[in-house]
Amino acid sequence: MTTSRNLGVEDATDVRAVPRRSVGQKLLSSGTVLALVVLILFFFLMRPDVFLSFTNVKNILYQVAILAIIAGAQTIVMVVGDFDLSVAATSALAGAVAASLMISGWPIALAIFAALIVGLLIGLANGLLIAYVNLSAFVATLATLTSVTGLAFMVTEGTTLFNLPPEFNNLGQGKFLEIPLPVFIAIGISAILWFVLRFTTLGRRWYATGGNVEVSRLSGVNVRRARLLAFTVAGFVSAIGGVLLAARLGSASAVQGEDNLLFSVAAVFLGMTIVRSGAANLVGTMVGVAIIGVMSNGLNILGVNAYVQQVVTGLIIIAAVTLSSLKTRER
Amino acid sequence: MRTKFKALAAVAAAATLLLAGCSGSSGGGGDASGGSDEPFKVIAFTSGNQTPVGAWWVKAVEAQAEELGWDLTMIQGDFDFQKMNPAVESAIGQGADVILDGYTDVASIGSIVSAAKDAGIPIFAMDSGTEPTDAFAINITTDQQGIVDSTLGALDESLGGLDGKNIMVIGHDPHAGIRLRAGLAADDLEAAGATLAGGEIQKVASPATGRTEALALVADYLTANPGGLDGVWVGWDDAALGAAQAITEAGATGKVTGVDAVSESIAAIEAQGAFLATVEQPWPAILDSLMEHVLAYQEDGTMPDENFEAVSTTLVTIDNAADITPSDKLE
Amino acid sequence: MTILDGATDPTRLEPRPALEAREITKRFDGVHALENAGLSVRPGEIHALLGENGAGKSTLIKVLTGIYAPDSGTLLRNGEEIEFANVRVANHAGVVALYQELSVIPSISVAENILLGDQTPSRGGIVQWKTLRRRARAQLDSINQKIPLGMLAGDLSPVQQTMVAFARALAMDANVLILDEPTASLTDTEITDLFAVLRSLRDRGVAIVYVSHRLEEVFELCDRLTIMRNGQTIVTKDVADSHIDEVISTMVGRNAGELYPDRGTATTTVALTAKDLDGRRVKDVSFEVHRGEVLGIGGLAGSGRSELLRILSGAQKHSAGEITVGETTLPKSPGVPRALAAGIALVPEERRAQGVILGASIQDNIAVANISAVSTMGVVSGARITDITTRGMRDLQIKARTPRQHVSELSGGNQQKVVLAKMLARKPAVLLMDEPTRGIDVGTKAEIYRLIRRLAEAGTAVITVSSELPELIGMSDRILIMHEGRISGEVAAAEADEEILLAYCYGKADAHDNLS
Repeated sequence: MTTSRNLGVEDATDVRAVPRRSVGQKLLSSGTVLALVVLILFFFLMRPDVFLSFTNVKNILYQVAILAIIAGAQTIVMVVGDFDLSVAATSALAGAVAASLMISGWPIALAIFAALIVGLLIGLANGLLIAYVNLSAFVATLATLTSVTGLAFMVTEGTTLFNLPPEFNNLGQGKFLEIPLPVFIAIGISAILWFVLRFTTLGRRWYATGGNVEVSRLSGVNVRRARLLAFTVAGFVSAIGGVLLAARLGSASAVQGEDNLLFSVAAVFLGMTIVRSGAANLVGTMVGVAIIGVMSNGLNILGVNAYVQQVVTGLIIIAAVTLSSLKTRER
Repeated sequence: MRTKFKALAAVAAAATLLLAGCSGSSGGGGDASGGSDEPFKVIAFTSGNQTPVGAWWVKAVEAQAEELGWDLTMIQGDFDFQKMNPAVESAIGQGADVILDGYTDVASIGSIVSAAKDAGIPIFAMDSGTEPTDAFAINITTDQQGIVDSTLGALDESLGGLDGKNIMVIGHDPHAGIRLRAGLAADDLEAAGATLAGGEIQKVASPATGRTEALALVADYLTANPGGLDGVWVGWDDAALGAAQAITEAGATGKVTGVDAVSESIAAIEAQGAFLATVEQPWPAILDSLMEHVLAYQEDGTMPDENFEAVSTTLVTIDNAADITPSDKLE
Repeated sequence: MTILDGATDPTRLEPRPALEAREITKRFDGVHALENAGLSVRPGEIHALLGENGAGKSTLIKVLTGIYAPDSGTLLRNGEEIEFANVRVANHAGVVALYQELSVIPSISVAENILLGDQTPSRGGIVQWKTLRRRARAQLDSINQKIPLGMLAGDLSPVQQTMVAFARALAMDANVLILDEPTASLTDTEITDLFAVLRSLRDRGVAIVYVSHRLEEVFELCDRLTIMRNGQTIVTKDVADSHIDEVISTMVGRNAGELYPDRGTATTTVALTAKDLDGRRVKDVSFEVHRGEVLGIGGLAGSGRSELLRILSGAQKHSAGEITVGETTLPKSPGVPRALAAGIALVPEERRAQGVILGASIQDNIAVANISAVSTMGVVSGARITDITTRGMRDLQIKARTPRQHVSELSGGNQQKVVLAKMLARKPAVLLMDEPTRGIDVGTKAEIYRLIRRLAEAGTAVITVSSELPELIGMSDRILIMHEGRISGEVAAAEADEEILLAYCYGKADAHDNLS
């Protein structure tokens, strides 16, 4: 009989087994989803006559529709393991381009198309800089953000463009079955992004790249192309958000929707706490978006002033993420 | 000929300094037509060049300088005091006869004021504070109380009296003028027997997102208090447009007033929807008046009698909307 | 089942090799990493690749898998010349290397890890999940693993992750597998399972190259072995015709009997006394160690050896008992700085995580641990850092290009030496070492044993924990064995043998009597 080989190593085969959980269990055990539920309950208890009414729920959805789209773009980039600081600037430029073209007489469809192409090109530029020139995502998208905002100022000539064709405005202000169109568009885009991430080889390659670049590369994933595509898609989707925002407000300014950047990152981070793997995911991002929307709306209804709202929003995000990380440490 | 070279050299030196410090600034040169050996040296700065009025002011001052043969150094601040103040101070270090301040609150330019005082250069300002201060030779601004009186008057007339009405006041603290007039409006409303919706002035956190913030604020308020909003007094047009949109979308009947008379709000007034009135601030006339003081000083060193002047404004309603030149279309 | 090109009947005398490297030369910066090196592995065999660190094993592997292109020499696949432009080409040709750290993508499922990238079944860009799960299951079944497909790969134990990596390699139709130290952190049961899988793969005709420092394993598992030294291939033999000592001497180029230095004589001065120590597992432990003595501590997993060391070093609180160093009795929870100040230094088990700052240079690592020795009033002296580092590198024979080289680029053995250098610069009264030679090649092990002996001769009391009984016997003066938190036996190393020690490990206190 030979000597025992690794006397020192713990026999961990019993300890390792992680029990399978049902989807419901998974969601509920997450601090973030719990936070959302608690928030909804809280606001409902404070104003039961108003908070969960059809009008108010519709308002919340309306208010976060654009953010949901931008956050979807951010999700893709974060799945791949990077992040994109230029999403809001791209959306503003896209809105400005569409508005400017329509004001000069271009047909609406063409103007929108041009705006989307602009977004796509910006995303492409980001992707090339990051995947091929190997700049860090932070530096590259920060630079893009600055230049794109400058472009937006140029396109709008420093003012707010308005007087957009009513058919265009209708995209952002029209309703179907009493629900504003942007809500449907946001749902549609989110569904498409979710599908791509979950079911297509492209989406799986994105996850693989974000999970471990080396192993992915060795298994035949073209990591560079994956990252390039992620940023390009993000630029395109951000442009959709920007066009929709312009339609919603009936106007386009260079800095419109600025706060969508930080909120989109916050939403994706909140979403990452929901899944076991800690990877960015679309459903989680939407939960994050919901938290942000519910909070803003609820605090407005309670008449809490804007400065306090900002403080509270930050605190709730910290709380949700901390709760989730505590649970992870228990495992 | 030599003077022209000297002027160019001075401009080149100043421009190099400025290029190091800020973007978007143009070193304007004056044509020394007119016989005097040393052209009148003027430093002009504004932090608000990204707003339509600020952009207009830059162009207008440059045009004046060109016409009068001034040696002008124009510094555009982009709301970035960290960048602008040192640039202006460097220019002061190069020497000047007069400094022009456009739309930059005295509270943010303490270091510039000291530098100017030390160099013995007078500052002629417009819309740079709401109270007399010896930082300026003269500051010509609009009469905030007058603005409040006329807008509240319009609301009073439209609503059939302010007593017992529920009015929301929306302000933005970082802007001195808006802060002052919002406070005055709140006080006067309460004195007239109206209630402030939400119990206090509603603050917008960022001018870039002012329109969407006001939109969400009013929409949520209406959901929480259906039919409970008689009017909204807003400190500036962009946010007022957001408030008006919220009211229209909710199908409510409140009236909204703004300040600035941008083309979009004039169009809204003419459309006779929720947007009731705005205020035209006579910037071109104020600039002319300021220039008179500067020319008097240039002539024989006469300083203005008072260091503060508040000029009256014009209320813009459906009656006179068609005759008003919008502030974002000033030539 | 994979049908192999050139598959052979193992009874034929000279079967065509699945993968062969001939006369490979590779130079880096003018230094020969490989010189006429070669390796030939047949289908259906497990072939060990042996050699000290720096012998050229990993460079050869990188050539075999397409990471490096050789300067000269040929690669043959099933007898035909081939060139691997990069790793993907090698993988497509069925040659796959598996490393400990690079095995799985932790954030995605087991099934996806197995059929990754090119292997993912899809139609028109849409992943065919059912097909994917079916094929993944099939691969796992073929190596008898019941790992759940839906689990995140990051939740698996190290051996399970290795199995997933196997499954992925098999999914790529790999029939040459190269394994680099696959048993480093596995339990006995896991190693047995791994060997079973390897044998079944071999029986299917897969060619396996097995790189390991663990000679007992090699002799248990492998069919043939190749020994490298200084970038050259020295010999290839059947394992059945080889003997461990001979292999060691071929690897190090000198007599294996010299592995352990002579024992010393401990002084009678007590360096450290532990009295009635209680911890989480540790119960009622009392002992003494003298200046100049090497005290070895052994025991099974969970016996409390590592915890004992952590308690002694101040890294962990003890709930009862006393530790005395020289004249000073340490307080209950001394904390590491206190213990260090009292003269107790610990060289931890996980050097990568706990011992060295991988991203920093050698001299920075040493400086950090000795910051007061290299600075005056808060200002660090470059000269003193260089001084301490050069002395450390010379004393310990750390093989590196310059003191500024990053520790992460050094071999495991040299990394361990940096850790030692850090500690030694402090000249501790008591040096605690937890598994000091884990994952280190034989040659460096010998050097470390010698260093420990030198330290002891200079007066340090050394306490080392080791899982390898031969090592305990070889390097210690005296051995304590722990069992379930208590000391179950004490033997002078000169009188110890593995059977006695093992008996103590299992708590058979009367073992000694039974065996005499």
